[in-house]
Amino acid sequence: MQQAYDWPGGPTGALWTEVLGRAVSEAARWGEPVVQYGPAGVLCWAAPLMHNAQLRGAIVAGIAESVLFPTGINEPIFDTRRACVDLLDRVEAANLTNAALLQHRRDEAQREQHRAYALHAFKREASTDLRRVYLRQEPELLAAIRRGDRGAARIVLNHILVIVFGAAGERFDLLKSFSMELVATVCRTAVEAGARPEQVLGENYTALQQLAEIEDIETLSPWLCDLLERVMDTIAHHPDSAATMLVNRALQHMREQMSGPLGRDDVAAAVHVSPAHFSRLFRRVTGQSFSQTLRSMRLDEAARLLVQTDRPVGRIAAETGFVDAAHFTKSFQRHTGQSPTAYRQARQKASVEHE
Amino acid sequence: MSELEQLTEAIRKGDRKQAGQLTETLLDAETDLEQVLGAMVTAMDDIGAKFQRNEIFVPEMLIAARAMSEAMNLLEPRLIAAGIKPKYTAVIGTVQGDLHDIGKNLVAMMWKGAGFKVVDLGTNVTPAKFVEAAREHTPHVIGLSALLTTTMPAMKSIITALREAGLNGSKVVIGGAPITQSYADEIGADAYASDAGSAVDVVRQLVAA
Repeated sequence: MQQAYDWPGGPTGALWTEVLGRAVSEAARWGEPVVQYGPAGVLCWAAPLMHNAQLRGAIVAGIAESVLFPTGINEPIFDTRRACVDLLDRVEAANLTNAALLQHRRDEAQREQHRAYALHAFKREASTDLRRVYLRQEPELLAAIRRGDRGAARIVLNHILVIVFGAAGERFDLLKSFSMELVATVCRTAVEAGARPEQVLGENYTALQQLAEIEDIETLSPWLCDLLERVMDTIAHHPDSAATMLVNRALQHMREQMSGPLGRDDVAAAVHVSPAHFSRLFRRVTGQSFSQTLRSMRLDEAARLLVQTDRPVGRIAAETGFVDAAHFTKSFQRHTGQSPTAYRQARQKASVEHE
Repeated sequence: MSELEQLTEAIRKGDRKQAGQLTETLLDAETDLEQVLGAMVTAMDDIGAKFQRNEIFVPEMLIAARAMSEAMNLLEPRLIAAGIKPKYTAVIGTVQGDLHDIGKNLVAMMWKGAGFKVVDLGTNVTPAKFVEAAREHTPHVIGLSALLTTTMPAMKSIITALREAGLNGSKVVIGGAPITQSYADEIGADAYASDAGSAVDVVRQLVAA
Protein backbone atom coordinates (compact mmCIF):
# COMPACT_ATOMS: atom_id res chain seq x y z
CA MET A 1 0.00 0.00 0.00
CA GLN A 2 1.05 3.56 -0.62
CA GLN A 3 1.98 5.32 2.56
CA ALA A 4 -0.55 7.97 3.45
CA TYR A 5 0.87 11.47 3.44
CA ASP A 6 -0.64 14.67 4.65
CA TRP A 7 -3.67 15.43 2.51
CA PRO A 8 -5.23 18.63 3.88
CA GLY A 9 -9.00 18.61 3.83
CA GLY A 10 -9.10 15.44 1.73
CA PRO A 11 -10.10 15.35 -1.91
CA THR A 12 -13.48 17.05 -1.76
CA GLY A 13 -15.14 19.78 -3.82
CA ALA A 14 -15.92 20.35 -7.51
CA LEU A 15 -12.34 21.08 -8.46
CA TRP A 16 -11.16 17.83 -6.95
CA THR A 17 -13.87 15.92 -8.77
CA GLU A 18 -12.58 17.40 -12.01
CA VAL A 19 -8.92 16.69 -11.24
CA LEU A 20 -9.56 13.11 -10.12
CA GLY A 21 -11.80 12.53 -13.12
CA ARG A 22 -9.01 13.70 -15.38
CA ALA A 23 -6.42 11.55 -13.56
CA VAL A 24 -8.60 8.50 -14.20
CA SER A 25 -9.50 9.31 -17.82
CA GLU A 26 -5.89 10.15 -18.71
CA ALA A 27 -4.66 6.92 -17.11
CA ALA A 28 -7.20 4.94 -19.14
CA ARG A 29 -6.38 6.88 -22.30
CA TRP A 30 -2.61 6.43 -22.20
CA GLY A 31 -2.66 3.01 -20.56
CA GLU A 32 -0.72 4.23 -17.54
CA PRO A 33 -1.11 6.73 -14.68
CA VAL A 34 -0.35 10.36 -15.43
CA VAL A 35 0.49 12.74 -12.60
CA GLN A 36 -2.06 15.55 -12.28
CA TYR A 37 -1.78 18.78 -10.37
CA GLY A 38 -4.69 19.22 -7.95
CA PRO A 39 -5.87 21.91 -5.53
CA ALA A 40 -3.84 22.78 -2.42
CA GLY A 41 -0.62 21.78 -4.12
CA VAL A 42 -1.44 18.09 -4.19
CA LEU A 43 -0.13 15.85 -6.97
CA CYS A 44 -2.20 12.79 -7.75
CA TRP A 45 -2.35 9.84 -10.12
CA ALA A 46 -4.79 7.03 -10.67
CA ALA A 47 -5.05 3.45 -11.83
CA PRO A 48 -8.35 2.61 -13.50
CA LEU A 49 -10.44 -0.29 -12.23
CA MET A 50 -11.97 -2.01 -15.20
CA HIS A 51 -14.30 -4.80 -16.10
CA ASN A 52 -13.50 -5.76 -19.69
CA ALA A 53 -13.39 -2.46 -21.54
CA GLN A 54 -15.62 -0.71 -18.98
CA LEU A 55 -14.27 1.76 -16.51
CA ARG A 56 -15.72 0.95 -13.06
CA GLY A 57 -13.69 3.16 -10.74
CA ALA A 58 -10.14 3.93 -9.79
CA ILE A 59 -7.53 3.77 -7.11
CA VAL A 60 -6.04 7.17 -6.61
CA ALA A 61 -2.77 8.04 -4.93
CA GLY A 62 -1.49 11.49 -4.14
CA ILE A 63 1.01 13.55 -2.25
CA ALA A 64 1.31 17.21 -1.35
CA GLU A 65 3.98 18.94 -3.38
CA SER A 66 5.44 20.42 -0.17
CA VAL A 67 5.99 16.89 1.16
CA LEU A 68 7.43 15.59 -2.10
CA PHE A 69 9.91 18.45 -2.32
CA PRO A 70 10.68 19.22 1.35
CA THR A 71 13.41 21.72 0.55
CA GLY A 72 11.22 23.52 -1.95
CA ILE A 73 13.53 22.65 -4.82
CA ASN A 74 15.63 19.90 -6.33
CA GLU A 75 15.27 16.31 -5.20
CA PRO A 76 11.84 14.79 -4.53
CA ILE A 77 11.70 12.32 -1.64
CA PHE A 78 10.59 9.60 -4.04
CA ASP A 79 10.20 9.02 -7.77
CA THR A 80 6.58 9.71 -8.77
CA ARG A 81 7.06 7.92 -12.08
CA ARG A 82 8.02 4.78 -10.21
CA ALA A 83 5.05 5.27 -7.88
CA CYS A 84 2.75 5.43 -10.93
CA VAL A 85 4.16 2.18 -12.30
CA ASP A 86 3.97 0.63 -8.85
CA LEU A 87 0.30 1.54 -8.41
CA LEU A 88 -0.59 0.12 -11.80
CA ASP A 89 1.40 -3.07 -11.13
CA ARG A 90 -0.50 -3.68 -7.92
CA VAL A 91 -3.88 -3.07 -9.54
CA GLU A 92 -2.97 -5.39 -12.39
CA ALA A 93 -1.60 -8.06 -10.03
CA ALA A 94 -4.88 -8.01 -8.12
CA ASN A 95 -6.66 -8.46 -11.48
CA LEU A 96 -8.73 -5.32 -10.89
CA THR A 97 -8.21 -3.89 -14.36
CA ASN A 98 -7.93 -4.84 -18.02
CA ALA A 99 -4.15 -5.15 -18.27
CA ALA A 100 -4.19 -6.20 -21.91
CA LEU A 101 -6.23 -3.19 -22.98
CA LEU A 102 -4.01 -0.82 -21.03
CA GLN A 103 -0.90 -2.41 -22.59
CA HIS A 104 -2.47 -1.93 -26.01
CA ARG A 105 -3.10 1.74 -25.30
CA ARG A 106 0.46 2.21 -24.03
CA ASP A 107 1.77 0.71 -27.27
CA GLU A 108 -0.52 2.95 -29.29
CA ALA A 109 0.62 6.03 -27.39
CA GLN A 110 4.23 5.10 -27.93
CA ARG A 111 3.72 4.57 -31.64
CA GLU A 112 1.95 7.91 -31.84
CA GLN A 113 4.87 9.53 -30.05
CA HIS A 114 7.37 8.00 -32.48
CA ARG A 115 5.28 9.20 -35.38
CA ALA A 116 5.20 12.70 -33.93
CA TYR A 117 8.99 12.68 -33.46
CA ALA A 118 9.59 11.39 -36.98
CA LEU A 119 7.22 13.97 -38.44
CA HIS A 120 8.91 16.72 -36.50
CA ALA A 121 12.35 15.63 -37.72
CA PHE A 122 11.08 15.45 -41.29
CA LYS A 123 9.53 18.90 -41.09
CA ARG A 124 12.73 20.36 -39.74
CA GLU A 125 14.73 18.80 -42.54
CA ALA A 126 12.32 19.92 -45.25
CA SER A 127 12.24 23.45 -43.85
CA THR A 128 16.03 23.65 -43.88
CA ASP A 129 16.01 22.48 -47.46
CA LEU A 130 13.44 25.12 -48.33
CA ARG A 131 15.41 27.89 -46.65
CA ARG A 132 18.68 26.77 -48.24
CA VAL A 133 17.25 26.77 -51.75
CA TYR A 134 15.49 30.04 -51.10
CA LEU A 135 18.58 31.81 -49.82
CA ARG A 136 20.54 30.62 -52.82
CA GLN A 137 17.90 31.92 -55.18
CA GLU A 138 16.89 35.07 -53.32
CA PRO A 139 19.21 37.42 -55.25
CA GLU A 140 17.87 36.09 -58.52
CA LEU A 141 14.32 36.59 -57.27
CA LEU A 142 15.03 40.16 -56.15
CA ALA A 143 16.85 41.02 -59.35
CA ALA A 144 13.95 39.70 -61.44
CA ILE A 145 11.37 41.67 -59.46
CA ARG A 146 13.51 44.81 -59.69
CA ARG A 147 13.79 44.69 -63.44
CA GLY A 148 10.05 44.12 -63.61
CA ASP A 149 10.44 40.58 -64.93
CA ARG A 150 7.59 38.83 -63.13
CA GLY A 151 8.01 35.73 -65.25
CA ALA A 152 11.57 35.17 -64.10
CA ALA A 153 10.51 35.83 -60.51
CA ARG A 154 7.77 33.21 -60.83
CA ILE A 155 10.30 30.70 -62.17
CA VAL A 156 12.36 31.15 -59.01
CA LEU A 157 9.33 30.91 -56.73
CA ASN A 158 8.08 27.89 -58.67
CA HIS A 159 11.34 26.06 -57.93
CA ILE A 160 10.70 26.62 -54.26
CA LEU A 161 7.00 25.79 -54.54
CA VAL A 162 7.92 22.44 -56.08
CA ILE A 163 9.94 21.71 -52.95
CA VAL A 164 7.05 22.81 -50.74
CA PHE A 165 4.42 20.75 -52.53
CA GLY A 166 6.80 17.84 -53.10
CA ALA A 167 7.80 17.60 -49.45
CA ALA A 168 4.23 17.84 -48.22
CA GLY A 169 2.91 15.17 -50.59
CA GLU A 170 -0.70 14.43 -49.78
CA ARG A 171 -0.43 15.72 -46.21
CA PHE A 172 -2.44 18.91 -46.05
CA ASP A 173 -1.24 19.82 -42.54
CA LEU A 174 2.36 19.66 -43.74
CA LEU A 175 1.52 21.67 -46.83
CA LYS A 176 -0.02 24.36 -44.65
CA SER A 177 2.98 24.46 -42.38
CA PHE A 178 5.48 24.62 -45.27
CA SER A 179 3.38 27.33 -46.94
CA MET A 180 3.57 29.30 -43.71
CA GLU A 181 7.34 28.83 -43.69
CA LEU A 182 7.58 30.06 -47.28
CA VAL A 183 5.40 33.07 -46.52
CA ALA A 184 7.55 33.97 -43.52
CA THR A 185 10.68 33.70 -45.64
CA VAL A 186 9.44 35.84 -48.52
CA CYS A 187 8.00 38.38 -46.09
CA ARG A 188 11.47 38.79 -44.64
CA THR A 189 12.74 39.63 -48.12
CA ALA A 190 9.98 42.21 -48.55
CA VAL A 191 10.58 43.74 -45.14
CA GLU A 192 14.30 43.96 -45.84
CA ALA A 193 13.38 45.69 -49.07
CA GLY A 194 11.73 48.36 -46.95
CA ALA A 195 8.13 47.17 -46.88
CA ARG A 196 6.07 47.15 -43.71
CA PRO A 197 4.82 43.67 -42.75
CA GLU A 198 1.24 44.98 -43.00
CA GLN A 199 1.76 45.75 -46.66
CA VAL A 200 2.45 42.10 -47.33
CA LEU A 201 0.18 40.37 -44.82
CA GLY A 202 -2.63 42.95 -44.68
CA GLU A 203 -3.65 45.10 -41.71
CA ASN A 204 -3.66 43.05 -38.49
CA TYR A 205 -1.98 40.26 -40.46
CA THR A 206 -5.31 39.26 -42.00
CA ALA A 207 -3.53 36.87 -44.33
CA LEU A 208 -2.31 34.74 -41.44
CA GLN A 209 -5.78 34.57 -39.91
CA GLN A 210 -7.09 33.46 -43.27
CA LEU A 211 -4.50 30.70 -43.44
CA ALA A 212 -5.63 29.34 -40.08
CA GLU A 213 -9.11 28.83 -41.54
CA ILE A 214 -8.02 27.27 -44.82
CA GLU A 215 -8.77 23.58 -44.96
CA ASP A 216 -8.19 22.43 -48.51
CA ILE A 217 -5.68 22.81 -51.27
CA GLU A 218 -8.24 24.51 -53.54
CA THR A 219 -8.38 27.43 -51.09
CA LEU A 220 -4.75 27.31 -50.07
CA SER A 221 -3.40 27.66 -53.62
CA PRO A 222 -5.02 30.98 -54.51
CA TRP A 223 -4.21 32.31 -51.02
CA LEU A 224 -0.55 31.44 -51.44
CA CYS A 225 -0.32 32.68 -55.02
CA ASP A 226 -2.05 35.99 -54.18
CA LEU A 227 0.34 36.51 -51.32
CA LEU A 228 3.37 35.84 -53.51
CA GLU A 229 2.07 38.33 -56.09
CA ARG A 230 1.60 40.87 -53.29
CA VAL A 231 5.14 40.28 -52.05
CA MET A 232 6.43 40.92 -55.55
CA ASP A 233 4.37 44.14 -55.72
CA THR A 234 5.74 45.44 -52.44
CA ILE A 235 9.32 44.62 -53.38
CA ALA A 236 8.86 46.30 -56.75
CA HIS A 237 7.62 49.44 -54.96
CA HIS A 238 10.75 49.65 -52.86
CA PRO A 239 13.23 49.79 -55.68
CA ASP A 240 16.60 49.73 -54.05
CA SER A 241 16.41 49.47 -50.33
CA ALA A 242 16.98 45.71 -50.24
CA ALA A 243 20.29 46.19 -52.00
CA THR A 244 21.18 49.03 -49.66
CA MET A 245 20.41 46.97 -46.61
CA LEU A 246 22.38 44.05 -47.92
CA VAL A 247 25.38 46.25 -48.63
CA ASN A 248 25.05 47.81 -45.17
CA ARG A 249 25.19 44.36 -43.64
CA ALA A 250 28.25 43.64 -45.76
CA LEU A 251 29.97 46.85 -44.67
CA GLN A 252 29.24 46.05 -41.04
CA HIS A 253 30.75 42.60 -41.51
CA MET A 254 33.81 44.12 -43.19
CA ARG A 255 34.35 46.58 -40.33
CA GLU A 256 34.18 43.75 -37.81
CA GLN A 257 36.47 41.41 -39.72
CA MET A 258 38.95 43.73 -41.41
CA SER A 259 41.89 42.77 -39.18
CA GLY A 260 41.92 39.29 -40.70
CA PRO A 261 42.31 38.07 -44.26
CA LEU A 262 38.97 39.05 -45.76
CA GLY A 263 37.97 38.35 -49.34
CA ARG A 264 35.00 39.31 -51.43
CA ASP A 265 33.76 35.72 -51.39
CA ASP A 266 33.80 35.61 -47.57
CA VAL A 267 31.69 38.75 -47.32
CA ALA A 268 29.31 37.58 -50.07
CA ALA A 269 28.86 34.33 -48.14
CA ALA A 270 28.24 36.24 -44.91
CA VAL A 271 25.33 38.09 -46.52
CA HIS A 272 24.11 34.99 -48.37
CA VAL A 273 24.50 36.06 -51.98
CA SER A 274 26.66 34.80 -54.80
CA PRO A 275 30.06 36.53 -55.20
CA ALA A 276 29.27 37.84 -58.68
CA HIS A 277 25.89 39.21 -57.63
CA PHE A 278 27.49 40.71 -54.52
CA SER A 279 30.08 42.58 -56.58
CA ARG A 280 27.41 44.06 -58.83
CA LEU A 281 25.20 45.15 -55.91
CA PHE A 282 28.14 46.51 -54.00
CA ARG A 283 29.31 48.66 -56.87
CA ARG A 284 25.80 49.88 -57.62
CA VAL A 285 25.18 51.00 -54.05
CA THR A 286 28.63 52.34 -53.05
CA GLY A 287 29.95 53.39 -56.45
CA GLN A 288 33.21 51.60 -55.70
CA SER A 289 34.47 48.07 -56.01
CA PHE A 290 34.63 45.80 -52.99
CA SER A 291 38.43 45.83 -52.83
CA GLN A 292 38.65 49.63 -53.17
CA THR A 293 36.16 50.03 -50.34
CA LEU A 294 37.90 47.50 -48.11
CA ARG A 295 41.28 49.16 -48.71
CA SER A 296 39.93 52.64 -47.86
CA MET A 297 38.18 51.24 -44.80
CA ARG A 298 41.42 49.66 -43.56
CA LEU A 299 43.50 52.76 -44.27
CA ASP A 300 40.99 55.07 -42.57
CA GLU A 301 41.04 52.85 -39.51
CA ALA A 302 44.86 52.78 -39.58
CA ALA A 303 44.90 56.59 -39.78
CA ARG A 304 42.60 56.79 -36.76
CA LEU A 305 44.80 54.41 -34.77
CA LEU A 306 47.94 56.30 -35.75
CA VAL A 307 46.52 59.51 -34.36
CA GLN A 308 44.57 58.22 -31.37
CA THR A 309 47.01 55.60 -30.06
CA ASP A 310 50.72 55.30 -29.78
CA ARG A 311 50.85 51.70 -30.99
CA PRO A 312 53.79 50.94 -33.29
CA VAL A 313 53.12 51.31 -37.02
CA GLY A 314 53.79 47.59 -37.65
CA ARG A 315 51.16 46.59 -35.13
CA ILE A 316 48.58 49.00 -36.57
CA ALA A 317 49.26 47.56 -40.02
CA ALA A 318 48.63 44.06 -38.72
CA GLU A 319 45.49 45.14 -36.82
CA THR A 320 43.99 46.60 -39.95
CA GLY A 321 44.60 43.51 -42.03
CA PHE A 322 47.89 44.36 -43.81
CA VAL A 323 50.17 41.34 -43.84
CA ASP A 324 53.14 43.23 -45.18
CA ALA A 325 54.26 46.43 -43.41
CA ALA A 326 56.04 47.78 -46.50
CA HIS A 327 52.88 47.29 -48.56
CA PHE A 328 50.93 49.10 -45.83
CA THR A 329 53.31 52.08 -45.92
CA LYS A 330 53.06 52.33 -49.69
CA SER A 331 49.25 52.10 -49.70
CA PHE A 332 48.97 54.60 -46.87
CA GLN A 333 51.19 57.06 -48.67
CA ARG A 334 49.07 56.76 -51.80
CA HIS A 335 45.86 57.17 -49.79
CA THR A 336 46.85 60.20 -47.64
CA GLY A 337 49.86 61.65 -49.43
CA GLN A 338 52.03 61.06 -46.33
CA SER A 339 53.91 58.13 -44.81
CA PRO A 340 52.32 56.67 -41.67
CA THR A 341 55.00 58.16 -39.40
CA ALA A 342 54.79 61.61 -41.03
CA TYR A 343 50.98 61.45 -40.84
CA ARG A 344 51.11 60.59 -37.15
CA GLN A 345 53.63 63.31 -36.32
CA ALA A 346 51.75 65.99 -38.25
CA ARG A 347 48.41 65.14 -36.62
CA GLN A 348 49.75 64.66 -33.12
CA LYS A 349 51.65 67.92 -33.41
CA ALA A 350 48.54 69.65 -34.69
CA SER A 351 46.52 68.34 -31.80
CA VAL A 352 49.15 69.43 -29.24
CA GLU A 353 49.21 72.93 -30.78
CA HIS A 354 45.44 73.01 -30.68
CA GLU A 355 45.47 72.29 -26.96
CA MET B 1 -21.59 31.27 -70.87
CA SER B 2 -22.53 27.78 -72.00
CA GLU B 3 -22.08 24.89 -69.59
CA LEU B 4 -19.13 23.66 -71.64
CA GLU B 5 -17.48 27.05 -71.26
CA GLN B 6 -18.28 27.02 -67.58
CA LEU B 7 -16.54 23.65 -67.28
CA THR B 8 -13.47 25.06 -69.01
CA GLU B 9 -13.53 28.01 -66.63
CA ALA B 10 -13.99 25.85 -63.51
CA ILE B 11 -10.97 23.71 -64.43
CA ARG B 12 -8.93 26.77 -65.25
CA LYS B 13 -9.70 28.21 -61.82
CA GLY B 14 -9.03 24.87 -60.16
CA ASP B 15 -12.52 24.60 -58.71
CA ARG B 16 -12.73 20.85 -58.32
CA LYS B 17 -16.25 20.69 -56.92
CA GLN B 18 -17.72 22.86 -59.64
CA ALA B 19 -15.82 21.00 -62.34
CA GLY B 20 -17.31 17.72 -61.09
CA GLN B 21 -20.83 19.10 -60.84
CA LEU B 22 -20.70 20.65 -64.30
CA THR B 23 -19.39 17.43 -65.83
CA GLU B 24 -22.25 15.52 -64.23
CA THR B 25 -24.77 18.03 -65.52
CA LEU B 26 -23.29 17.84 -69.01
CA LEU B 27 -23.25 14.05 -68.99
CA ASP B 28 -26.82 13.88 -67.68
CA ALA B 29 -27.87 16.15 -70.53
CA GLU B 30 -26.30 13.66 -72.97
CA THR B 31 -23.85 16.24 -74.24
CA ASP B 32 -21.53 14.99 -76.94
CA LEU B 33 -18.68 13.29 -75.07
CA GLU B 34 -16.01 14.59 -77.43
CA GLN B 35 -17.23 18.11 -76.70
CA VAL B 36 -16.97 17.58 -72.95
CA LEU B 37 -13.47 16.24 -73.43
CA GLY B 38 -12.72 19.22 -75.67
CA ALA B 39 -13.80 21.65 -72.95
CA MET B 40 -11.39 19.99 -70.54
CA VAL B 41 -8.52 19.93 -73.04
CA THR B 42 -9.06 23.64 -73.75
CA ALA B 43 -8.72 24.45 -70.05
CA MET B 44 -5.55 22.43 -69.60
CA ASP B 45 -4.04 23.82 -72.80
CA ASP B 46 -4.66 27.28 -71.48
CA ILE B 47 -3.13 26.46 -68.09
CA GLY B 48 -0.12 24.81 -69.75
CA ALA B 49 0.45 27.82 -72.00
CA LYS B 50 0.20 30.23 -69.06
CA PHE B 51 2.64 28.12 -67.11
CA GLN B 52 5.06 28.10 -70.03
CA ARG B 53 4.83 31.88 -70.23
CA ASN B 54 5.52 31.99 -66.46
CA GLU B 55 2.24 33.72 -65.78
CA ILE B 56 1.09 31.34 -63.07
CA PHE B 57 2.50 29.44 -60.11
CA VAL B 58 2.82 25.69 -59.59
CA PRO B 59 -0.08 25.50 -57.08
CA GLU B 60 -2.44 27.12 -59.60
CA MET B 61 -1.49 24.49 -62.14
CA LEU B 62 -1.81 21.78 -59.54
CA ILE B 63 -5.36 22.62 -58.54
CA ALA B 64 -6.39 22.99 -62.19
CA ALA B 65 -4.98 19.53 -62.83
CA ARG B 66 -6.88 18.16 -59.84
CA ALA B 67 -10.11 19.70 -61.08
CA MET B 68 -9.43 18.14 -64.47
CA SER B 69 -8.88 14.73 -62.85
CA GLU B 70 -12.17 15.03 -61.02
CA ALA B 71 -14.00 15.75 -64.26
CA MET B 72 -12.03 13.08 -66.13
CA ASN B 73 -12.95 10.38 -63.58
CA LEU B 74 -16.60 11.02 -64.41
CA LEU B 75 -16.08 11.25 -68.14
CA GLU B 76 -13.72 8.30 -68.62
CA PRO B 77 -16.21 5.45 -68.01
CA ARG B 78 -18.57 7.09 -70.51
CA LEU B 79 -15.83 7.38 -73.09
CA ILE B 80 -14.92 3.73 -72.64
CA ALA B 81 -18.58 2.66 -72.84
CA ALA B 82 -18.96 4.66 -76.05
CA GLY B 83 -15.86 3.01 -77.46
CA ILE B 84 -13.98 6.30 -77.64
CA LYS B 85 -10.37 5.48 -76.93
CA PRO B 86 -7.57 7.96 -76.43
CA LYS B 87 -5.58 8.17 -79.64
CA TYR B 88 -2.26 8.07 -77.85
CA THR B 89 -0.81 6.27 -74.88
CA ALA B 90 1.96 7.51 -72.60
CA VAL B 91 3.90 5.73 -69.87
CA ILE B 92 5.50 7.89 -67.20
CA GLY B 93 7.61 7.39 -64.09
CA THR B 94 10.28 8.88 -61.86
CA VAL B 95 13.53 6.99 -62.37
CA GLN B 96 15.13 4.51 -59.99
CA GLY B 97 16.58 6.07 -56.84
CA ASP B 98 14.36 9.12 -57.08
CA LEU B 99 11.25 9.46 -54.93
CA HIS B 100 10.13 12.87 -56.17
CA ASP B 101 6.77 12.79 -57.78
CA ILE B 102 5.34 16.29 -58.01
CA GLY B 103 6.88 17.09 -61.41
CA LYS B 104 5.99 13.68 -62.76
CA ASN B 105 2.43 14.00 -61.43
CA LEU B 106 1.99 17.39 -63.04
CA VAL B 107 3.20 16.12 -66.40
CA ALA B 108 0.94 13.04 -66.09
CA MET B 109 -2.05 15.25 -65.39
CA MET B 110 -1.19 17.62 -68.21
CA TRP B 111 -0.91 14.70 -70.63
CA LYS B 112 -4.25 13.37 -69.45
CA GLY B 113 -5.61 16.84 -69.95
CA ALA B 114 -4.33 16.71 -73.52
CA GLY B 115 -6.36 13.56 -74.10
CA PHE B 116 -3.62 10.94 -73.68
CA LYS B 117 -4.07 7.64 -71.93
CA VAL B 118 -1.45 7.87 -69.21
CA VAL B 119 0.04 4.87 -67.40
CA ASP B 120 1.76 6.18 -64.27
CA LEU B 121 4.42 3.81 -62.96
CA GLY B 122 5.07 5.94 -59.87
CA THR B 123 8.46 6.78 -58.40
CA ASN B 124 11.73 4.82 -58.06
CA VAL B 125 10.98 2.87 -61.25
CA THR B 126 13.62 0.39 -62.46
CA PRO B 127 14.66 0.06 -66.13
CA ALA B 128 13.10 -3.45 -66.12
CA LYS B 129 9.74 -2.00 -65.10
CA PHE B 130 9.87 0.58 -67.89
CA VAL B 131 10.66 -2.19 -70.39
CA GLU B 132 7.81 -4.31 -69.09
CA ALA B 133 5.35 -1.38 -69.27
CA ALA B 134 6.55 -0.50 -72.78
CA ARG B 135 5.86 -4.09 -73.91
CA GLU B 136 2.46 -4.22 -72.27
CA HIS B 137 1.07 -0.85 -73.31
CA THR B 138 3.04 -0.11 -76.51
CA PRO B 139 2.98 3.58 -75.63
CA HIS B 140 3.64 6.33 -78.14
CA VAL B 141 5.74 8.15 -75.59
CA ILE B 142 7.60 7.28 -72.42
CA GLY B 143 8.26 10.07 -69.94
CA LEU B 144 11.20 9.88 -67.55
CA SER B 145 11.45 12.26 -64.62
CA ALA B 146 14.37 12.94 -62.26
CA LEU B 147 14.79 15.72 -59.73
CA LEU B 148 18.25 14.79 -58.49
CA THR B 149 21.55 15.07 -60.30
CA THR B 150 22.49 11.74 -58.73
CA THR B 151 19.59 9.93 -60.35
CA MET B 152 20.00 11.44 -63.83
CA PRO B 153 22.25 8.59 -65.04
CA ALA B 154 19.37 6.16 -64.45
CA MET B 155 17.72 7.78 -67.49
CA LYS B 156 20.49 6.55 -69.70
CA SER B 157 20.16 3.01 -68.34
CA ILE B 158 16.45 3.06 -69.10
CA ILE B 159 16.95 4.26 -72.67
CA THR B 160 19.63 1.60 -73.19
CA ALA B 161 17.37 -1.10 -71.75
CA LEU B 162 14.48 -0.04 -74.00
CA ARG B 163 16.69 -0.03 -77.10
CA GLU B 164 18.23 -3.39 -76.21
CA ALA B 165 14.77 -4.86 -75.81
CA GLY B 166 14.05 -3.61 -79.34
CA LEU B 167 11.29 -1.28 -78.12
CA ASN B 168 12.00 1.49 -80.57
CA GLY B 169 8.39 2.41 -81.23
CA SER B 170 8.09 4.55 -78.12
CA LYS B 171 9.61 8.01 -78.09
CA VAL B 172 11.39 8.89 -74.87
CA VAL B 173 10.86 12.33 -73.32
CA ILE B 174 12.91 13.36 -70.31
CA GLY B 175 12.54 16.19 -67.86
CA GLY B 176 13.18 17.40 -64.32
CA ALA B 177 15.09 20.16 -62.55
CA PRO B 178 18.67 19.08 -63.42
CA ILE B 179 17.87 17.98 -67.00
CA THR B 180 18.90 19.97 -70.08
CA GLN B 181 18.50 19.61 -73.83
CA SER B 182 22.17 18.75 -74.18
CA TYR B 183 21.83 15.98 -71.62
CA ALA B 184 18.85 14.64 -73.58
CA ASP B 185 20.97 14.67 -76.76
CA GLU B 186 23.86 13.03 -74.97
CA ILE B 187 21.89 10.04 -73.69
CA GLY B 188 19.88 9.66 -76.88
CA ALA B 189 16.45 10.71 -75.59
CA ASP B 190 13.98 11.70 -78.30
CA ALA B 191 13.01 14.93 -76.59
CA TYR B 192 13.44 17.15 -73.57
CA ALA B 193 10.64 19.03 -71.83
CA SER B 194 11.64 21.96 -69.67
CA ASP B 195 8.37 22.10 -67.72
CA ALA B 196 4.97 20.49 -67.41
CA GLY B 197 3.46 22.96 -69.85
CA SER B 198 5.95 22.33 -72.61
CA ALA B 199 5.78 18.58 -71.95
CA VAL B 200 2.40 18.67 -73.68
CA ASP B 201 3.68 20.50 -76.76
CA VAL B 202 6.67 18.19 -76.93
CA VAL B 203 4.65 14.98 -76.97
CA ARG B 204 2.14 16.42 -79.42
CA GLN B 205 4.99 17.14 -81.80
CA LEU B 206 6.48 13.69 -81.22
CA VAL B 207 3.26 11.82 -81.99
CA ALA B 208 2.54 14.03 -84.99
CA ALA B 209 5.99 13.35 -86.45
